[in-house]
Amino acid sequence: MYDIDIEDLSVYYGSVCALKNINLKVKSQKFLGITGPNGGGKTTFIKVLLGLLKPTRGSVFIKRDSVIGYVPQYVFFDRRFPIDVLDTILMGRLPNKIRLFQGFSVEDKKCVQEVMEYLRIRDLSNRQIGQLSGGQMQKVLIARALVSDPKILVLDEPAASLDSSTKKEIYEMLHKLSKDKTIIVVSHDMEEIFSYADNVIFLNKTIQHYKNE
Amino acid sequence: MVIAFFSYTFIQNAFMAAVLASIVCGIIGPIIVEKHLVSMSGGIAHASFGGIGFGYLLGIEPIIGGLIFSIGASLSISTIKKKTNTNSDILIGMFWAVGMALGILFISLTPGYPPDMTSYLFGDILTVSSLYIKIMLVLSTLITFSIISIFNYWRAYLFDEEFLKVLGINILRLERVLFILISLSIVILIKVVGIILIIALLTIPPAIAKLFTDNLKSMMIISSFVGVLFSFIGLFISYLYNIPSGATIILLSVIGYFILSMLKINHTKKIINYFNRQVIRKG
Repeated sequence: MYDIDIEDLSVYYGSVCALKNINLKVKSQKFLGITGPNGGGKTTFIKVLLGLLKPTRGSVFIKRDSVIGYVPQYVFFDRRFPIDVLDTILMGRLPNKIRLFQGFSVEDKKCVQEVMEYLRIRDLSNRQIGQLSGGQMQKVLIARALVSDPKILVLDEPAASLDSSTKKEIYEMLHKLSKDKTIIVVSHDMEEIFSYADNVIFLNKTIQHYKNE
Repeated sequence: MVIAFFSYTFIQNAFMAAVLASIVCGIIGPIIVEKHLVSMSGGIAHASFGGIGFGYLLGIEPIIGGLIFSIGASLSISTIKKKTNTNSDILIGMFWAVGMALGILFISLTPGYPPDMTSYLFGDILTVSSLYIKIMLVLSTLITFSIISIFNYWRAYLFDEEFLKVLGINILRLERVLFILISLSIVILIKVVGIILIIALLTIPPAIAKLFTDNLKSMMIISSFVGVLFSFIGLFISYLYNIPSGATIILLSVIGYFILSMLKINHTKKIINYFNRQVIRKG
C-alpha cells in the first residue's frame, strides 16, 4: 500500500524551476532518504509534501487520515526563546481547532511522557531549550512530531552538524521508528542515508537516481 | 505631602493609566520582542500619527483616527508583503514616514489655530482624562483576554509558526489578530509615553524580565510589574521636579535595565569563579 503518491509534480518560483516532473510512490513503513545538491529542490519537495507550498503542476496524494509529523532543521531555531522542553513537545498535541481556554489533557501529558521516555530525554523536561546540546534539541523536535502519532514522519537535515556518534544514534532511532511509520529524511549525510534507508533518491530538480533496497 | 499628591484626580488618572499601560506592555512587549516585531511596532506607532492628524481635520477624537490608521497600516504591511514578496523592512519604513507626513499635512490643513502635537509625540500622562481611562480599561481587558484565552497557541505561533501550519492551524488568522492587538496596545500607549517613545516601553520591561526568567508566561508577569514600578517612580519624580513624565519613565527603565544586567553579569561571574575554584581544589 502506498502512503504517498506523487504524479508529474513541478514547482516554479516565478520563472525559476525548483522541481520538474517528479513521479514518486512511497510505500508504508519504509525509510526513504532524499539527497542531492544545495538548490536541488529538497526543501521545496518537503514543503510541497507538508502542504506548505502549492505545486505549480501535478499532484500529491497522501493516504487518507495519515497524520504527517514534521521535524524542521534544528539549527534554524532561536534557542533563546523562553520555552522549556516539556512545553515545546506539548505543542505537538495542540488541536487544529482553536478553542478558548483549552489546556492540555491528562492524556496529552501522558503521551508526552511516554515519548520522552522512549527518546530518553525525560530528565530534560524542565530545561530551557537554549541549555540543550544540538543532539538533545533534535530529539526534542522529533518528540514534538511524534506526540501527534503521525503515520508519516518528515525530517529536514536531522543530523546536520552533529558529531558522528550522535548522528548514528539519531539514524538508528529513525530506523527503529520505520517499523511502524513511514520515514522521509532529507539530508547530505550520504553514508548514513545509504546504510539506513530502504530507498534513496538523488534530487536535482528531477529525480536523477533511485536506489531500491 | 503624599496624601495631597494622591488627592488630585489627574494624579489618580495618571496612576491608573500607568498601571493599565504597564499591563498591556507586559503582555504585548514580550510577544513583540520574541517575534522580532520591534521595528514593525515602531512603524505602526508612527503611522498612527497620520490618523491623529486626520482626526483633527475631521473634528473627531484624534485617538480614534490613530486607531484606524495603525490597524490599517499593520494589516496593509502584512498583506503587501505576502502579495509582492517585498522586504517587510522597506514597507515598514515607508508606512513609518508616510504616517508622519500625512499627520503633518492634515494638521496644516486643519482650519484655525494648529493644535499642539507634542502630547501625542512624547505623551503626557498627567493630562489623561477619565473618559480615556475607560477606553484604556476596555482595550486592555480585550488584549489580556485575547492573549490568555489561547496562550498555548500564541506561544507556539511565536516559536514556530510553520509547525502550526503543518498541524493545520490557520496562522494567517492568528497573525491578523496579533497585529490588531499590537495596534490597540500602541494606541493605549500614545497618551502615556507618546508615539516616539512607545518602542522603549514595549522593549525595556521584557528585556528586564528576560534577565530573570526563561518562561514566556513569567516574562509577561514580571514585565508588567517592572512597568508598574518604573512608571510609578517616574511619575513621582516628574511631578516633583516638573519634568516630562514619559521621558522620565523611559530613562528610569533604561537605567534600571543597565544596573540589573550589570548585577546579573557580576553574579554569574561569581558563580562561575566559585565553580572554577572548586574544580581547581579537587584537581
